[in-house]
Amino acid sequence: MTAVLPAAPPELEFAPSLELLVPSSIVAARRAAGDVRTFLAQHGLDEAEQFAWELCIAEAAKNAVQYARNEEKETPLHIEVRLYPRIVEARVTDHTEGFDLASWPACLPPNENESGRGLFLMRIYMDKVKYVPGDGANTLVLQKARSR
Amino acid sequence: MNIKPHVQKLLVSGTEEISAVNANKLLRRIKAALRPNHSCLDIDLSATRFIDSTGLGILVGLHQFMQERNGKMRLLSPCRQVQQLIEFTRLNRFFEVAST
Repeated sequence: MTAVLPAAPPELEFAPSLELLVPSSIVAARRAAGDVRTFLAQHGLDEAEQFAWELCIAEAAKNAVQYARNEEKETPLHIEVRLYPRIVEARVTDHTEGFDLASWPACLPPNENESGRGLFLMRIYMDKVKYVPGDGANTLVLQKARSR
Repeated sequence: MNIKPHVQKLLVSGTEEISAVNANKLLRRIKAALRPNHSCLDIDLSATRFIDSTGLGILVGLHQFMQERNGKMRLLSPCRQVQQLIEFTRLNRFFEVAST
């Protein structure tokens, strides 16, 4: 069984969208984040929004690659971005063991720590971060209001 | 990436991004170029348009590495987005960040 996510309202179904099937590698994940940025730039999002999305997609896709279950190490990631009139939404599907987002600390690690900032960055740059666990695949949903 | 040694300083510049893709390579190259006389590591971020959490981690590691040598690290001329990233993660209180 896979995760069942709420469908977009009917009036939003025809939002411009980008769907990527990304090989499970750090390089491909990073390239995909750049592709998302290009897509959003082509649709008029400003520099700050482009940076925020590139960063958050890069973080989400990197996590999906790094923590993929052993038997899913070669399974491509699915990234979908939809550009609604007021918000942008992205869904990044991973094949990891999943985690409980609510129990994950929302604070920064000590300055001396070299890791542990990825989820913090997603929370601070996005308006909404939701993790939908499923059997076999989980989906990270990111939303951010458009500035124009 | 350009690495330019001076008498007491090592200047790193021309890095378009510091991310999971290139951070470890960048770290290795910088550490290999550092000499005992280099008490200051300057990383010019004026060409850097993207840093992710892995890149931030590498900068933290380099900062600590320089401190252990009784030296210092400075980040120079970050663009607006990178400056904001450093501020959001409160690393502006940890790093010396300078505009040139």
